[in-house]
Amino acid sequence: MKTLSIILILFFTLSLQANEDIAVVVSSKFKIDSLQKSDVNRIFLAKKSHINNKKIKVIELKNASYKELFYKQTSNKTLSQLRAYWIRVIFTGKAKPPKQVESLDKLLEMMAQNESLISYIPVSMVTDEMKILYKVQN
Amino acid sequence: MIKQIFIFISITTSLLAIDISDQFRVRGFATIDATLSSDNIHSTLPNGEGNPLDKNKINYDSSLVGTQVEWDISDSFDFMLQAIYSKDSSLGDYKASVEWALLSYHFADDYTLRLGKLKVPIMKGNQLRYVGFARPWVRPQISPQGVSGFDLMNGVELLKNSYIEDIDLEFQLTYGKAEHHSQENQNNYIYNAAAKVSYEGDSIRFSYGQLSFDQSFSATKTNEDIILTFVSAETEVHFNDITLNAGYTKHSNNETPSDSFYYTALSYEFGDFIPFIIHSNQYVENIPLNSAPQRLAFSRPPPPPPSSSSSTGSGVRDGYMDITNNSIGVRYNLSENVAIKAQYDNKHIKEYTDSTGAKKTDSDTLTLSVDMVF
Repeated sequence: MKTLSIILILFFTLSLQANEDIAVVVSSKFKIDSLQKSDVNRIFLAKKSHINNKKIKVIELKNASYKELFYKQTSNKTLSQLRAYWIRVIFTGKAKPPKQVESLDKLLEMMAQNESLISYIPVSMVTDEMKILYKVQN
Repeated sequence: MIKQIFIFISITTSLLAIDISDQFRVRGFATIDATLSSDNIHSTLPNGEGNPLDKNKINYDSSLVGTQVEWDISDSFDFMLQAIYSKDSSLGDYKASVEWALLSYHFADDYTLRLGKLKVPIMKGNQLRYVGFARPWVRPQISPQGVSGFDLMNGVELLKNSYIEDIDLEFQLTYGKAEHHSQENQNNYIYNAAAKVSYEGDSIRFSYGQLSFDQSFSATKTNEDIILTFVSAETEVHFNDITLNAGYTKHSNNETPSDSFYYTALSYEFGDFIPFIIHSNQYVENIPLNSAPQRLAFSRPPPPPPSSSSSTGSGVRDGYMDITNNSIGVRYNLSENVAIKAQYDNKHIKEYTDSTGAKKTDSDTLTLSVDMVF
């Protein structure tokens, strides 16, 4: 019964996240209020590593259900095309892909501890210590 | 060797990358390639380069395994080394070779300075020649002459990412000394300048370069260095689930035959299935008659010897080789890091050299491959 409850909670949580808007977030201390879609694309494809002369690092939730929507809307890439993109970049040594985090809790914890991190999460998960720079409409 | 690669793949198919620590990673890639050809001369690449095939016998010579080590020394410095273990057509045996070994320095606003051993950035296919997983089709679309076999270099490279409104720009300046893949030829210098323009996932890249090498490989050694100029253009355009890839490259010089190569490929992303078609052509011109280059286009050729016409004033350079390749195939993404591919190629060669006279040849090739990365 307990296992079934956990599965149901997980199912409804994931369904909720899958239908939510996605927010590109940084620390609330970061001195910028918004980003253009093209900037989001560049940052998450490792073509841009600085915002206002401050170095930023991308982290993302591993196997996030909203990953496909995020990259389709910001980079016009399917997950398969995204994978192909990173293979080309990685094996020519030009850049490294975003650091993958195992859980949303861990991602939120890391965001709170490191002001140079940027990520994308469901809007409902945004905390007071974060600032939304861009929203992807579901 | 094939068994070893099978074991390697079995162990690693569930892995993506091994993070030794936050700063140190090991990645890898491998290909198992089984090719059956109707001809015992023509090699595996669309343009003639690669290991020669035995007629009607399954050939595994394009199978290989590679590894990449990455070390983030600091926020500004990182190191990358990539090595492969593959069949060397000139040795006839497997050998390990270092393809990349470079120190990168990231500075200012999206500048990167790279120092060390690099792949000559003439086309995407050369930089990712051995990473089969990176392309939909089985073999890289590259010119066999390329930069006359100088596909590796030791030098320095400056990368800069920039943009104008929604258009992304990527610049790449490279300078150094090139290494010949299989010969001990002396390269004097190589430089290359490339620019890539991207918009919403579509891109076009232009490249121009030059290299100079001496003619110590040749029995008819002269004092004059060969100066090779190479240009290329390559594009990738998406129409919903359809991707168009096309490329063109031309190599010309002051002494030897020159060649041009183009390819056009269409692929359609149908879930995990990606069917594709490719058409390519390579044209080698100015082959000196009475002094034909040996084995041209049937294996990675050494830089062809200087023509009798340029050194003695006699003879003609009307010899040519025209290789057209049409391919159809499918890629299936078995998992996030393993792809299975099947490809059929028809190669049509028209040539006119001293060794062959006027000759037309057709050959068919069927390839099954498994590509993986981790």
